[in-house]
Amino acid sequence: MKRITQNLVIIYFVAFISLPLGLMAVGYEAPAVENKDISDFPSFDSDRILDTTFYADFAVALRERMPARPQGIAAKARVDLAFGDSPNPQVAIGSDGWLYLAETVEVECISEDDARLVADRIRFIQEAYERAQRRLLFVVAPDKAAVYPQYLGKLAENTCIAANVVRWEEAFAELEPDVVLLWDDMAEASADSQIYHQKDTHWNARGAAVAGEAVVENLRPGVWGSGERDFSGVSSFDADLTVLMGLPTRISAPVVSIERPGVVSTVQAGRLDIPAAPIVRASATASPESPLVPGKTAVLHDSFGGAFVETVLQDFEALTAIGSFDLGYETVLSEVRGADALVVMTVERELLARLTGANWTRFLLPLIDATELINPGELLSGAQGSVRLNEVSLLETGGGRPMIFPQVTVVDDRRQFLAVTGVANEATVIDAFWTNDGSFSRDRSVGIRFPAGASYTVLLDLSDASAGSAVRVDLGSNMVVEAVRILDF
Amino acid sequence: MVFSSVEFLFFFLPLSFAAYYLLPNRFRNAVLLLVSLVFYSWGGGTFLLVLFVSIAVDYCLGFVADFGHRTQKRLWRRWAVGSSVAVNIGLLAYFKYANFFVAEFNAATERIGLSEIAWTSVALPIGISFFTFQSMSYTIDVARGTAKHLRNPIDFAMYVALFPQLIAGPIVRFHELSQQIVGRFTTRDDLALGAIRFAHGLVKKVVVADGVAVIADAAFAARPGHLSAAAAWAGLLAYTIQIYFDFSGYSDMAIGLGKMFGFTFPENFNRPYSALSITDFWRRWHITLSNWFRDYLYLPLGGSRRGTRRTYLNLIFVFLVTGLWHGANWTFVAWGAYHGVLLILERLTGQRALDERQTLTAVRRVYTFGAAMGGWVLFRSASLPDALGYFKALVPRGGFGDLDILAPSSLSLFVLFVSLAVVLAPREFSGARLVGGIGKPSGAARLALMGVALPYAAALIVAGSFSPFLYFQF
Repeated sequence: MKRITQNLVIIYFVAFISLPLGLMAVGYEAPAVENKDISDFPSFDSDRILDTTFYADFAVALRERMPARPQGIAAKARVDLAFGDSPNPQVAIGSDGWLYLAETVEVECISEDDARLVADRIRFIQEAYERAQRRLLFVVAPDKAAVYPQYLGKLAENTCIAANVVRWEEAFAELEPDVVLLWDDMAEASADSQIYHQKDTHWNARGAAVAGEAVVENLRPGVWGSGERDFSGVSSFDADLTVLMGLPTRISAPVVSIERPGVVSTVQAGRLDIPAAPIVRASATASPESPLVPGKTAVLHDSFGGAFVETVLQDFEALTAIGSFDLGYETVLSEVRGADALVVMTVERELLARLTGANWTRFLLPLIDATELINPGELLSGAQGSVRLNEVSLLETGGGRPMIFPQVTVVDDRRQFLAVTGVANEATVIDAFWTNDGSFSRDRSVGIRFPAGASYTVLLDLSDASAGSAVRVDLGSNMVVEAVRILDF
Repeated sequence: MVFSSVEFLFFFLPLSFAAYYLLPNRFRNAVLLLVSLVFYSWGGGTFLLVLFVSIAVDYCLGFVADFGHRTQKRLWRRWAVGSSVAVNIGLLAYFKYANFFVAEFNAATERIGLSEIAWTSVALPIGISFFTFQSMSYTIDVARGTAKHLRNPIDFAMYVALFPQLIAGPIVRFHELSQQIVGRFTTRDDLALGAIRFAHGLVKKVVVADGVAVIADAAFAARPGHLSAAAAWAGLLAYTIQIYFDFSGYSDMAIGLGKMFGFTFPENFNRPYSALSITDFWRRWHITLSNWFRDYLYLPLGGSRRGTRRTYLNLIFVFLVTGLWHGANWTFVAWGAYHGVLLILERLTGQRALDERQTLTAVRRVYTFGAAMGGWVLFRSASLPDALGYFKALVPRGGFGDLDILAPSSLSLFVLFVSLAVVLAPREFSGARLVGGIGKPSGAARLALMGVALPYAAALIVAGSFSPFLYFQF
């Protein structure tokens, strides 16, 4: 090798490996490219010199700060795209520049039983609300793949997108109008204008307005039609699917502006600390020509709800919209507890998981009156020693006794639930076992996740337990139980 | 820490170079030892103590072995070598094989109704198979008189812990490095060639091996009966490419790094898939391990000097041990036995004599490549029944089927085809020699490697840490 070549290779290689560290040393760091803050460097302590977690944390902080990291990620993504591959398996590439969330495209067919189970549970929840003289409205936000299948291209092969829509519509047919299905409305609206973003998972303001009209008219006919909505404004943001691919692309989208004669509204937007979720509180005063949805309305929504809320801000007398379904937290529950109507807006792809998992019961939590919770000590006083509890030494209950309920029995003609409120030091699981013969097994139990750090309530469904069953409760790890009770709705 | 990581490439390596070259010469071994210990701690944590035990034992035994050699006292030398083997193999036996043997013993006792041994699983210290062998080779070489012992503990500790080859080889025998430990210098050519070799290895590992790994992983993860013949063959070809480019890429990086620090490590691979027989394959695959077992196990057992039957016994024993060295699983033992049997068959059929002649090269290469692939099924499978299931999947039943279960990306298939073409190309094809890690790259190849492939490999490494979450799913 010639001397000049040697020198060039050495200089190039040394610069290649040293430049990022040099730039970091003078204060240049890559911006955050994931939807989270950049991790902090771990503090050094001599005790951690042989602790591999210290090095792992250090490596994460270093990687996230690497100068040219976004460019490196983008370069890799461009090569993938050049070969026709998606840079991120979470993103499916359609035709004509359309992108889809892969899990909304690669969907399996929903069984009739699952669809019926979801419908039955929604019906049960709604009937409980009716008995409590409140209204519960379930709104299903269609996935983009169901509204714009024409851009799926080859992705449309072997998916159950259309079949699942039919399945849901059949299952929910008897539940309308308390379940708002938007597939038909969206299909109709999409013929007139684009209602979902091309490179983002969500509907745009026009699509959100279709949902807004359906919900508001459902709650009080005539409110929506008394206002004017204009979509000529434009905003821009990084489309989420391009961010997932590592190629953040700014897109322009219509913005809604609302004109309702005589309506005076105030809007307060913020964020709950626990859980970290957006919250919007809006109130409005009506005028004779612009009626409002009366009373207090609470909306629980996922990421589709943000744009939806913007289109309906002036339509409610009092509106609280929270970007979370985690009603187990008292912070969320307290915002919802007194609402005359609760709107639950969930995206299509999450419907099954949200209503068939053990945690479907959370939608019943607003019906529990906080003041009626019972101190565990009172229930435990009648406990007998015939049933032993695992890991008793780990437990620390409000009454200072192990959690055990041999005296609590299930009544056949009522669907019963066990509510447990407490604070756990670490995320854990609470299991309820039931028995008629004194023995316990996993197939006669229900378990539910319990998060750490703040007061939380879970509701365990005991409907599979037979009449006269004794119920035992196991806590996965150390926690303080504040209150427990057996409920029916 | 692995070489193909952001923290190694852009943090550890530049700081190590800076410390090594900015400090006076006399501190260089101390610097290398220090950075090597940091390198090990990064992933090994408290297992650093195991490394220290191996170092301390063989450092002390080096004095005994040296005394035995100088005074021609055989007993002292035997005692030193025996102690070194006992301690190092003991460490290996405990950390690498104890879980396996206890589990097998308990399974056997359960079958005959006896009680089990109570046992808590032991974690495996990274690199233990490599550093114990290196450490042992010191005592053995000093006892044999093929190298002088090291008085300075820093020098010896640096030899065992030397980070470029600490966790994945090449396995350096002490006599190959002894002179370089106490006196070495780095030329401009060493630095440039070392940088190119390192870049070469990084590209092989990150672009090729990791590129096709997704195909191999999907194939070997598939449930038996769900894999079409086409998918099974694609998965096996992908694994054949992955293991070679992964391991030889790592060796290239180690050799390149060694060069940049003034060491000349032995070559570890020499286009093994161009071999004309399995015998030839083992002269080209993991050469340093083959040499280690040849010098320290096969030859001491008598090699081929004690008659045909003993030679075959030695061969099969060495290959069983070679298999077990790769991992504590019957699949590795079977892989070793498979290769041992093939070697014996080649001797029995006179195949070995053909190696000297360039006849029927295409046919013999196909046989060798196919035989090596067969071995990889055993090597990669999680268990012997899994391996059997995979072999069955390779047989077409009413057609080859499709690759759908692997969901291969176009890029991974492209990389697989190109790399297969390169490894199967005629030996004279210079591009293949270059990819194999041997031969000097031309100016254009250097430019393509350093200007395009190295930055792309770095982009892949950086992108590997990219994990945005679906914030809209709460």
